[in-house]
Amino acid sequence: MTTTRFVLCFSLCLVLVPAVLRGNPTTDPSVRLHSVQANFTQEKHLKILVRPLVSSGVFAFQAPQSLRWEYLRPVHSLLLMHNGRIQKMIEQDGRFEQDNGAGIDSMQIVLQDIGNWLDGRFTDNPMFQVTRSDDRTIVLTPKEPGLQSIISRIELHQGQEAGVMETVTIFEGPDAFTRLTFTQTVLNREIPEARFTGQ
Amino acid sequence: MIQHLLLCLTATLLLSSCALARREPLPKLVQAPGATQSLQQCTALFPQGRWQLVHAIAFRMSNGSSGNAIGVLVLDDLEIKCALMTVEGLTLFEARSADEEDLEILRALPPFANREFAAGLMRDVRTLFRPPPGAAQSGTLPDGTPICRYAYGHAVTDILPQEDGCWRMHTYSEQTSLRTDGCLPADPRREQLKTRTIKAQSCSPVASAIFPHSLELIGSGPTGYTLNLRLISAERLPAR
Repeated sequence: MTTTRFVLCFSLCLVLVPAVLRGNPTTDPSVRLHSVQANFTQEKHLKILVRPLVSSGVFAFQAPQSLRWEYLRPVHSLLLMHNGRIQKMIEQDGRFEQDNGAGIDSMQIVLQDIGNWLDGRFTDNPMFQVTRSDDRTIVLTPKEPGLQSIISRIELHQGQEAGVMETVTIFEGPDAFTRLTFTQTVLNREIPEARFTGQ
Repeated sequence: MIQHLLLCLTATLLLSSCALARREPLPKLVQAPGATQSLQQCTALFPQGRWQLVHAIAFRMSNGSSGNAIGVLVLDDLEIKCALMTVEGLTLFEARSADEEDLEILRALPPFANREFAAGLMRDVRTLFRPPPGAAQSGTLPDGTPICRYAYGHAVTDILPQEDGCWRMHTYSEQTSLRTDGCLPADPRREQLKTRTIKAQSCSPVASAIFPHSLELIGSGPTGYTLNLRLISAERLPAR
């Protein structure tokens, strides 16, 4: 059950990135986004780690609900969301295999609830309390104690350019966090559907 | 006819389930000259000093469930620290342990949040990356294969060095022996039976140690499991 929730929480964090990038259409239509693509570097910090574990990959999002989240190294894996369908794959011996681990079914249910986020309406979210620590930083704190035991807070830091996310940091607890840094962001370029279906 | 088929099918299933539980007994050790050199060769298969290792782990349980994880290991002279995380990087389990009696769970999400899982995981980690404890002997198996044998209480570990610099390992513990069809006999007795088989492949030197790029651990018996570890990185850490 918690593993399901765990996978689910992380998928929400992934969806947050394009959600924030889209901005709030009611107050700032100029930063409303149709699509976003970027490279990312992920640093995993743990108390036991002498050096952080570094991963890297690419992601693509297109409104309303299409997402491709791909780790290229150290383990090649792929998360695809399109038309309410979610696929998770991992490369084994040079070819992709479906990863049918816990959480995929629940993620499909949760996808229905993230419409508000994708429209930039963070305050409507029942799972997180949303605050702004400064003009460019949004802090999401889980409302439910069960969720707090998995993720203590998420900080989303916007870059100088409107609508461009610079870093997302997921705090699991003291001395344990995952920081995603985004580079080479491309906004509003049409992305072929095949990118989200794995075809 | 259908009844006959069902009967055959049931018998086959019963037999195969017994066969699944069947474990191999400890083979006889044949003493051989050059024992000291072989023992040194076996001890050298395990890293010395401080290391940070990262593995991609694929696991498969006997009930058919499977999954993937990233395993992080910090080997110290005194203790082992380990973490299991999803491929996306969130921590499922984190613990440290100095020995069998010392285990501190730093973080664990269900279904990993139980001491039995943590102790089993640390036992596997120690088996894979630490020289076995106990009195050591070297020799050969009856078929002539060279081995190092370590006996610790009722537990026995056999290390079979391979010509390519890699190794195989078998662990045994005292259990109730089964009939040749794998079922429980009328007069059960205790003997040392195989619990795990480990195969190290594609070994190559990193700094002062030799690391297998691929490790396969198969736990025997009805609650068996298979772990496949692929080495992502091995980094020597400065001495304290």
